[in-house]
Amino acid sequence: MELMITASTDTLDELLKRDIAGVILGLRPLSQRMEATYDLDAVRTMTAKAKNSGKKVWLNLNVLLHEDDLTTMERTIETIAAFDVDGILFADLSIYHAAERAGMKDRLIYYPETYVTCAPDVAFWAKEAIKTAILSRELTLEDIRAIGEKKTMPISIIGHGYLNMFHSKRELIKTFFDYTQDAIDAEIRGKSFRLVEEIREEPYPVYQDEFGTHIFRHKPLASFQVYDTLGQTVDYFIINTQFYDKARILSIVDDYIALEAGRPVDMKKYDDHDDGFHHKKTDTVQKKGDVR
Amino acid sequence: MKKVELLAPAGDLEKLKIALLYGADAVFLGGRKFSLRARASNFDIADIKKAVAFAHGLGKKVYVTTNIFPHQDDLPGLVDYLKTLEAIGVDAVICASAAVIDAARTHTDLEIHVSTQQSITNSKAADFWVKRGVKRVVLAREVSIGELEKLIPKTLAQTEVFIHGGMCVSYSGKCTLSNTMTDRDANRGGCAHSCRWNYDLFDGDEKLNRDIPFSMGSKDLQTVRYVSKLIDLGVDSLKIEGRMKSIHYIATVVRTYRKLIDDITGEIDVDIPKYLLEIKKAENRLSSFGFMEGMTGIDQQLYNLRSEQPTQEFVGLVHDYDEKTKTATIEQRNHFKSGETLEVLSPNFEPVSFIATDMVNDKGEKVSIARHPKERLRLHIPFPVAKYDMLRKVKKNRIVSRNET
Repeated sequence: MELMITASTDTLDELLKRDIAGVILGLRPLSQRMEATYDLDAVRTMTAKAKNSGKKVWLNLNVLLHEDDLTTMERTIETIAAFDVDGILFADLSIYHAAERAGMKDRLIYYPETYVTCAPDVAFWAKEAIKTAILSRELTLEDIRAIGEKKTMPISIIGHGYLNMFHSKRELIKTFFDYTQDAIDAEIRGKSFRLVEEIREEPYPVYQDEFGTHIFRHKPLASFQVYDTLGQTVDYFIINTQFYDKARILSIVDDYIALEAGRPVDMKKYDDHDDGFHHKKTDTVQKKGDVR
Repeated sequence: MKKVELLAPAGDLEKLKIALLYGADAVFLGGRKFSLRARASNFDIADIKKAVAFAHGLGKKVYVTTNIFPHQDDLPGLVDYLKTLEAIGVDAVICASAAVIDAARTHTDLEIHVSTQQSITNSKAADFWVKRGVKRVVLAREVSIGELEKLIPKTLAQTEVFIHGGMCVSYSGKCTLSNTMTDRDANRGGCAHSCRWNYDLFDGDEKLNRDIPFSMGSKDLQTVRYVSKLIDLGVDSLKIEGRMKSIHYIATVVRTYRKLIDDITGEIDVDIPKYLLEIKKAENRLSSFGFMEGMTGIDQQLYNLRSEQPTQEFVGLVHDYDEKTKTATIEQRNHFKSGETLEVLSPNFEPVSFIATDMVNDKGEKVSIARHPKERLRLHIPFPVAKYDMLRKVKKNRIVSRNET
């Protein structure tokens, strides 16, 4: 598997020194749920630096676009065409259209978060001749293996980090405080709060930004235990660094590099992580005994 | 003026008949496979066949939802199922997954509609699917009237817009709250509606919500004031949500929008307050206009309460009417008494009130109180009614006498 890591100006230099395949950058205003996002000039500079280090660069353009956003997006894609990026993550299908027009279709990486759930989905995007698709975040290891065995193009997963589990266009935090008329000291936009459901002791990171309200799983995903298994079918393993500080990011990356090189990893460092949906098969009906 | 379709939900065959008789041009239903409502579906293949026959007999359409995002082990039987739907004569399938769309396109000539689960918010995304054999796109509920005005002229797709019913507070198809919190897959029909639960919001250790729980639940959508504009904009289909709702809800909501659309397209002066009053008779949750005006605010959210209030006003469903004796046979649905003022809701005429009298049960015994659910009763109704007409209680200020209609 090739290791791709989301990066910021804070971590880029250190990441480029490491044995990773490349970095994923955030571009304003087309990226969301990233550790950091940058304007075109900064992205151009960061891209050049990474390429000079022999690393791949992917841009994460994962926003959902409304009609008024299209012109800006299309101009941005035309500008990006001059950058030497290797991949463009997209969720909104309007970006497919713009990238195709700019001659960059083969660099597209489909990243709708929840839509690529079976082998025929991958086959559909293979026929569209894009670079890869990122599998849905709630798949089990068995689901991933089954898809991988039938894949007709490279497949990717978010292998490590906080997984988003809810995105509303609504400004749910602001609206709530508008309703209660409680003055709060904290700046709402961009600030991370925690949400705790009344019968569950699981604090979910939540924040609101210009794209709406985002809620994440309470524990970040770690895939050390299943890394070898994933490696049998997955081509790109993505580490999402959102919510981690620099030291932790570099430590995580070093651990996956160690694993790739066959060295052991101290799993005690990851007691605050879990294995996401790797072994958690979801159902469509309420299980007996569940409160809800 | 372009003809707009009124599309209604059908949770079972009875609701399907009610929706079509009360004015829907088409209905959508979920079968027992590949649908987000599969676990609650009352439609096996034989029922879908009956549904299609009934709808086509009225010159109307049936769309079948195949709108899950299937995992690998959900796939067996998909192609056969789609072929069967085609053979039965369903008018379209509503799909969310590329895999399902591709299977329908490759193995059948079924008309394909892309579900709102794809959260399509712009014309280019809609056209992506049109170029891959899709005819219609059900737009995301997050698209405003102002955005529709720009989107519709630019897309090649037929557009379908939600006008009434429940709303996901998340972008549809993007939410895995339920997967994480309850192990139930929202995108395969297991949504536990975790977004409607109560939460506390913390900044560090400080709890920020003081007197009431933090909640995210959305009011239902209600767009009586916006239908005229939606028709002007050229929306192809106006969609009512609610396959789990009662027949009274379906009848009232469908009938109200039917009359409203007919008034608008017939260029008759539209009495908006009348329609708002009528649709309120069906509501059991608070409602608002969603994203029609742009970004939502307090008025679109539910705070400090669960607003579900079961409607008790629907008291009986007409099975038959004897014109000679002016006696209706009905099935009881809620408690009512002899001497109470009731109202007939019918697809054929405006609501008319009467006094419930001469009530008799199946054994011929006089009944003063109808208290047994589903009991068949006969009672005097002084004007002709028909099968599928409904009886409901009315408040005094809502009574419309026969002479006024």
